[in-house]
Amino acid sequence: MSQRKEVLNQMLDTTLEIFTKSLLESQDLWKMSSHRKLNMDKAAVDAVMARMAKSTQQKVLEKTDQMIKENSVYELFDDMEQLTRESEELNKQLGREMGYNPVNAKRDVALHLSETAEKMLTEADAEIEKIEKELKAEEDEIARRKQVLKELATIVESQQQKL
Amino acid sequence: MESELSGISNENQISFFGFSAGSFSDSIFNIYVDAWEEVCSNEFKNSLKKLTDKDRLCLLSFPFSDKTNEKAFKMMKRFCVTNIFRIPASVTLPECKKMLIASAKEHKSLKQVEKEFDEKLEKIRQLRIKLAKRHDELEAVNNAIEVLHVMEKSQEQLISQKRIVPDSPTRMSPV
Repeated sequence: MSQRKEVLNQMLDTTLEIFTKSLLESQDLWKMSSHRKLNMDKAAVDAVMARMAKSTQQKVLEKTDQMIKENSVYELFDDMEQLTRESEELNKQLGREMGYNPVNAKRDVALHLSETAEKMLTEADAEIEKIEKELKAEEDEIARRKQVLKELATIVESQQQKL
Repeated sequence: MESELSGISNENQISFFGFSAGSFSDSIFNIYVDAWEEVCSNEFKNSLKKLTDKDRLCLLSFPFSDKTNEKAFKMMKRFCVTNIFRIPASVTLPECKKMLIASAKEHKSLKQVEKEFDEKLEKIRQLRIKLAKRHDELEAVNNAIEVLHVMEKSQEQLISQKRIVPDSPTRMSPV
């Protein structure tokens, strides 16, 4: 289980506990009932507040669980832990301590441009390499054909001697 | 605390989680408000039917004006922002990974890149010219080979004919 998940659940439980306690300890309803002459005794008021506190607690738990499920919060916590490990490993490779934070739009654009420019240079290098390879093949072919030419010339001269 | 409710860390949270830490705790608070409102509405139809509107409003609002609850909700928000949904500084979001790698390199200035690119283009142009020359040279050699090949065939044929029809005394004209 993710540590963030535990901490989140603990925090939610604590908050709900505090809220419920404040409801149960509240004297507001009792004061209202006394002042407005609602004909409710202390026990009845306490029973109503207890019932309300319990219902509130139940509803809050249901709604909170639903929200957490809808947003996939726990899965995102796991993803965050994995991303943290990967980032720290990458930082170690690159010799950095901080991850990347886009602090300046101009700088980001410049980085993208330099990326594109690097790609351009890489492609130019690839083209040069390709043409050089073709050139070498062509030169090899020329050398081979010249050899054939020389042999053929020798044969022709030999025939002329015979004639 | 306030600086973490807006700015880079907030943006990163929204980018990764889909919501910011502050908005998450606000949503939790709204859940409490909705739940309490539902519970009160239910009781107002039953045991608390006789309450006046003013008293009902008072009952609806009292848990959220309670000092203890206010502190609890504030602590919850602070804890969400500074702990639970905090993205560590060492983390690089997936969409920024490319830029991290790019920024880790010592990337060249754009002018220098353009200069190098022009140099490479010039080199490509010269190589292509050289290639064209080699191609012409190869064609010339091939043409020469073809010519010599034809000569070789012809002379071979001549040599063969000479052997087939040698001089013979029987073929001499009578005297």
